[in-house]
Amino acid sequence: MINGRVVAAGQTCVADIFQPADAPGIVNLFRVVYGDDYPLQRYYDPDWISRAHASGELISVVSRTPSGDVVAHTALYRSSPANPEMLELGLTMTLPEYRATFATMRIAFYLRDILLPGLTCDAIFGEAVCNHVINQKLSNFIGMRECALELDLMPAEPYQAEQSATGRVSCLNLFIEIKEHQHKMFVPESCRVFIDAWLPGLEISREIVTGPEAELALDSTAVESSYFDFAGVSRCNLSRTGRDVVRVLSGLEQDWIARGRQVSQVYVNLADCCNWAAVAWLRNNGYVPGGLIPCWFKDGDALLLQKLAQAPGFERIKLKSKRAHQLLELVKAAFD
Amino acid sequence: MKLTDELWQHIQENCLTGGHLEALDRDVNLIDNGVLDSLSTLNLVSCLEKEYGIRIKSEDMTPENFGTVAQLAAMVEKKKTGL
Repeated sequence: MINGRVVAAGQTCVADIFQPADAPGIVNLFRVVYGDDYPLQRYYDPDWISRAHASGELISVVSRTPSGDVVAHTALYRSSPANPEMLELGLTMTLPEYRATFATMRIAFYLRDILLPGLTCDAIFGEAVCNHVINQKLSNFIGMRECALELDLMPAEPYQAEQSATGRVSCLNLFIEIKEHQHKMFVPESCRVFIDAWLPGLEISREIVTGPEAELALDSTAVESSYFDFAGVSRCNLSRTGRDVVRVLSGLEQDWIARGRQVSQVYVNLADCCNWAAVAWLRNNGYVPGGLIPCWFKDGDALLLQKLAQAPGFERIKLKSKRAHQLLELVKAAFD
Repeated sequence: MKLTDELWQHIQENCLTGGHLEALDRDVNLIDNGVLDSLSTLNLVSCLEKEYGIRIKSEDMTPENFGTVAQLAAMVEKKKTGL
């Protein structure tokens, strides 16, 4: 059963930045679109939403009717990247009776023409779910480019209210650089084919460094790991590789297996000259490249390596752009 | 080729998909007939901006500019000539 207040159809609307009075309307959108089961329960609390905007943790753009109803929404917020200046674009929702209107389009224009030009962060990324292409279209419109494919990232349950997924849902990762960067990229040989194929189309300026493997100088590997129980997903940011890397990664892997993980993602810092040791262990233990995410780390870009407990659901992935399809073929080839 | 012809061809070939276009003539109201919604319009705007080197703003998104192919052509022409 779908909960949520009914909003009168057919009203005009304008896009605008969040105002405190919008908070109940955003909660209503979550209830209509996801029922009561969206995994992050804080989005059902209008007070939390207002506080998050006041602190800058959340930057929402809404499509609002003259009567004050929120009929569409999207937001920027800090999430998984190790770089706090990399914001995620997401939480894009539209009331069903406003999906054949210009409500979402007005938000897209607001993002492209008003919000983005005024941002001072390093970059924006988004994880567009691939059970439909709506978020991909919106992301492409504001200039975001495809950079990674996160296979079977989300469980099907959150999408059951809308009956829009038949199994786990992959996400297409898109990004746009707000500030130009000139990061060095130390690319391990085992991922060189993938990077060489994908980097040119990202339209970013990077220096690829090749040569003999650097000696592991640090004692300890710098790694931050999270586990998302609702999704069975482990996610790990590996910013520096130390001499203990094999012990560290082996320990994490055992922990994730014990928790029943479905998907493991490791984001390896390409600015780390010693990342070859981490990548070697990961590749030998079934991890395959999923993409290249610029600015994921404060000082560098990330190579995404991923491992799945089950065979990937490639057939369920819906993609819009030619580049997205090219990425899918590249990721498929990496699995073969 | 006239701009309206170019636009109609462009819409059919590059911007919009779906069988309902085949049953529509070029004078149809694109909004009233559900040809253009938020996402198909984003696609159309991207195509127009790329093809004609113009910039379309949110305030341009009115039924008077996007209602019919002829209205679209008039808007594109104005943008091209900087009026």
